[in-house]
Amino acid sequence: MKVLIVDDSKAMRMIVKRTLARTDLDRCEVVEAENGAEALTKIESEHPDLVLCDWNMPEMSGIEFLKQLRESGSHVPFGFITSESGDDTRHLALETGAQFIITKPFTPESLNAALMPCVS
Amino acid sequence: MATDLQSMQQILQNVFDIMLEMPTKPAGEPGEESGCSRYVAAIRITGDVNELIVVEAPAETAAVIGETMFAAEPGTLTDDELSDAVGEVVNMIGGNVKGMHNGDSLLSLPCVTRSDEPAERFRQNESLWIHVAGQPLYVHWQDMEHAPV
Repeated sequence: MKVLIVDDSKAMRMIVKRTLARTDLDRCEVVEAENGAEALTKIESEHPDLVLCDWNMPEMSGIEFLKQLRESGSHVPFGFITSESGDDTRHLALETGAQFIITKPFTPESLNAALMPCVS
Repeated sequence: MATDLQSMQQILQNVFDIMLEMPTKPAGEPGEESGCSRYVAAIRITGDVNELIVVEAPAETAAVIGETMFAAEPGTLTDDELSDAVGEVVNMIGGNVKGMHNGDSLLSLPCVTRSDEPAERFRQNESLWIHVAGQPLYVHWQDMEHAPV
């Protein structure tokens, strides 16, 4: 299992990576990208099995990345991990093709609960 | 209307106590701290909600938070990494504040600066003073809709 973590904050990428290690995906391989544009390139080169993405990023936001990803025909499971927690954000994410959205701050338990239906 | 004190306390507990596993406790208002280097991180919510949130982290506090986030040894993080860590704290707070309110609003990207002076201008706003893992952290917020020009 290969997971692509997309977040402009290196600190948050580290936190997501460490939290993943405390879920049922503890043996997954992790690749990282700083924004949506870099993530699109990583999708091509790394072929991840799951994408975990921030919403609010410079250059290309998470939702724009997801739109372009789905337009390219990719069906890779996709989850947002974001501080944006409103109903409008959740609705837009799911409508665009995300499988789940979890809000920062999160715990290993909440991350695992969101991930499992998506990868099993 | 600006976020109430209780909600802000809950958000800070969720960020530090639950996610980062860094215990927090209330602290008294700080005294004169001129000359103490600090990271000042700000984020703005605009739209139906109009709020400015500022986190003021003395350098020692930023170091402890950064070392926890990066799982790094003491003294090994760069200035950019510490700015990133404090910026992510204000980002999480801002996102949670935005999520508490209904309506159409946008959350800015966080902006982090370094200063040797206390952020006096922001201390006139709603403020919360806490200790995070024994280090002081100051959070200020203001409803910009009714802010004096």
